[in-house]
Amino acid sequence: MKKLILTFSLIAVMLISANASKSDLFTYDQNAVNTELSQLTTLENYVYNNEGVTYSQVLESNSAMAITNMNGLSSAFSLGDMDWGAWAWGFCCWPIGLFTVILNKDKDSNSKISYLIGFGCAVVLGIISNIVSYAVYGSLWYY
Amino acid sequence: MFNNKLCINLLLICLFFNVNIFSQTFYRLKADFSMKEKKPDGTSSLVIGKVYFDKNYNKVVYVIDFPDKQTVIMHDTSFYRIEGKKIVEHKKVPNTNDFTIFNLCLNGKLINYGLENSIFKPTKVEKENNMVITTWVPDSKMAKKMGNVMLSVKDKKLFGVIIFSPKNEIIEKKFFNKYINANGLLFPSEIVEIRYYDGKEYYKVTTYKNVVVDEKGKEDIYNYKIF
Repeated sequence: MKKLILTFSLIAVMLISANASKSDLFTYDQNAVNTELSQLTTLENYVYNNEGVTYSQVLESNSAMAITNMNGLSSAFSLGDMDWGAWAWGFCCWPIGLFTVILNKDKDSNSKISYLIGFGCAVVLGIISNIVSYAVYGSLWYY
Repeated sequence: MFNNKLCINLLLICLFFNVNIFSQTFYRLKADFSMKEKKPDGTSSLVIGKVYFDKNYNKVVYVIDFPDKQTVIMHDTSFYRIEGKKIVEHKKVPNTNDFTIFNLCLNGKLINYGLENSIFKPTKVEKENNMVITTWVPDSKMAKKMGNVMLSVKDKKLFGVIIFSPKNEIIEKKFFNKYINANGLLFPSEIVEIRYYDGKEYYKVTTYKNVVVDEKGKEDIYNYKIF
């Protein structure tokens, strides 16, 4: 009998804790959110009180409002954004790439940046290989 | 007698053409918004402006005043950033317009977070603490890439969304607070998003004010022409 009561009470406790944990998932610490975003909230209030102000104007007039690593909706270009096809056009055959990537309206900013990076890599490698080949050729000529 | 016949005929016509004469349909929305965010890469972001959405044009147009004056347009799989009249950024992005808060609200699908008729299927429905909690499970083919999604509904309004990883770890929580009634359209005026990354929580709070539904005119903004 004792075993039976113990088993039932264990099941009951497990069910209650399982249920409790599910609704507990739908909670969050409002204070933590407010604290973490407090600097941005101060800036937000400043913007509402000074209609039409931009961030650069805020920095000029009130540098205390400056926020470290502030950015807008757009994200910076990263390696993950690289369009390797466009990069190859810039690297291997930039004159054709000019038409297939840069002047192509269907290509996005990431493709155009990738093309320019590819072109830049080709220029840098070209300069290095020229310097090396002149050095090797010069030393051979000397001997 | 004639009137009765006419009424019956009208009713039959309505039923035949599936005309829903009792429910209100909305097609466009405008609001002032403010988006505050701290990201895992250490950057912070505050964006303030107006957002315009017309479900027929399927373009989300953000006319941004802060941090800089610019316009951002999300259309199909394209992201455009325009300064003045010039496109300064054009990116290919996943098409998320159907799952924006604007489209979900206008189509009355926010209560299920648009998961109805998706790759997710509801499995468990539980009632607890004034909440109805539904667990949505992804299609078996996608189970390796996507985890479950739990939705909680309070007072017949979507309250929370929890997105799990395939390993059943919480990736993200979203809370839809402070619903307002804009000409019959229920719209959450505050959305709190919590992202979990490397054991830390990262917050994003979006607030909406001055929500206007089915505004007439302003076609040039709702259907922003991109050249």
